[in-house]
Amino acid sequence: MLDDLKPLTLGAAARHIGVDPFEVVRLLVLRGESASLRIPRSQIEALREFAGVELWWTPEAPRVEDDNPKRGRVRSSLAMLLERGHVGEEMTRVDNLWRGLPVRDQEIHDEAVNLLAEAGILRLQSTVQGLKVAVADRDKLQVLIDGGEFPEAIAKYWE
Amino acid sequence: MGVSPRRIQDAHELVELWHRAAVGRELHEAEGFEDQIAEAHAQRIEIDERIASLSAARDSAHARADALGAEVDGRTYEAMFDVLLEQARAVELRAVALREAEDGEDSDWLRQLGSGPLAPKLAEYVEFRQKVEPGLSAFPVTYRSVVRQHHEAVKQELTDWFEAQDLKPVKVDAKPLTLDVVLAVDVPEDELAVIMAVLPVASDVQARWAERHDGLGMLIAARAVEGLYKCAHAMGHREAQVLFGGHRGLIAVEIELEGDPVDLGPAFAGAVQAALDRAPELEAAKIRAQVGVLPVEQVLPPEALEGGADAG
Repeated sequence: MLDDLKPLTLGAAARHIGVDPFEVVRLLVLRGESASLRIPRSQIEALREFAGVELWWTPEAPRVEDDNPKRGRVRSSLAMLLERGHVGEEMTRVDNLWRGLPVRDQEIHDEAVNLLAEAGILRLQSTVQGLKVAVADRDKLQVLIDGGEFPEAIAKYWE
Repeated sequence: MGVSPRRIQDAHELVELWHRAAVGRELHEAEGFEDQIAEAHAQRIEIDERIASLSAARDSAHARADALGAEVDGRTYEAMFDVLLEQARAVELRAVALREAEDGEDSDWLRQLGSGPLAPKLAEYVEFRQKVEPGLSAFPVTYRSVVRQHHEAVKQELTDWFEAQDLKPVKVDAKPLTLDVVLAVDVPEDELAVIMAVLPVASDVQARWAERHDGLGMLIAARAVEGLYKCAHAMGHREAQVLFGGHRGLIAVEIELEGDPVDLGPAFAGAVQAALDRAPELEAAKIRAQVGVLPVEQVLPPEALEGGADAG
């Protein structure tokens, strides 16, 4: 019971922030705060903000209609990326796209983002805040969001 | 009348007789040598065959010795993972002891809180968690909201109190446990150097962290990762990302960087060692870890070396 009152363990802090425990370690090291691995609850918001962590997949999140639910969620995430203006230099943490989704969907998103980056439609960059993503080819991405065919290598993940 | 003197012809005949007899003797002796020579030839063939046979046996032994040398890496790889798995099991046992010690300390905190000015708040908090919260969903939304809001205010007072305490890591009453952390540096041609670490921690600690209680394994892995990040940042790679994977049931991590591979191994080993040595929670749990750098051939599985694949 006292776990809910004492400073947070790495796992608990990770759940609160929305990342994994080793990302919390990375953030603590960057901020020079890794002396103790018990994280005060008062630091959580600052860590979340520092990392650029956002929760897009709320119940109110806009959904793209699709007869395949998994593909629909990928389309919705890509639509949110575009709508939120993450184009060119305006990057966001890549895991913002799938935070809050079931694990299998997160894996599919991860694969899809990597393959779309290889195809030049998205751009990935490792930054101090973490791995970030932005739209590289707005027109091609819009075609995919509007129902265009995904490359075969991606499509196999939701078939 | 006297004896007729010998004739020259007689002398010739005598010489001829002597010559025939002498040649006969020598030829007879020569025949004896011929037999011995034939016998020696036969022996030489046998000796040559024996030398050839012995040479082949020697070469075969050399080849086997060479093969044993090549087998060292594979055997070291197997033995290293066996040892680290054994250590990971010991970590799990120590984690149980740590959890028991933490439970004991929680009882002390409860007693301390229960006898101080926050005693009513603690009682209220405990009552909510044990009696109110389980049935809260049956109440109207507005009532639930008010009750939860009040509970959060009580909880905030208690968490503030805990944050104000100088919480030290819980000490475990147990024998010191010494572990190994293995590092290796791989430098694929024309690619970034890869610093790999294998930890004496079960891979589930990382892969299933969301379903598990944070245990000792998480702390050991976190400190090792802290060392990797500190070293990468010190080298100017603040954007570096540690990648995680399970290998043979253990946590395997890697980080890609530019740099002189000769310097990378000792630098990262030193930073990881320092992070582990300075960790107060590991000291309290009586955990010591020794970081060692091994050749990459002893850390990557043989099939990865043949195929040039990554660990993980």
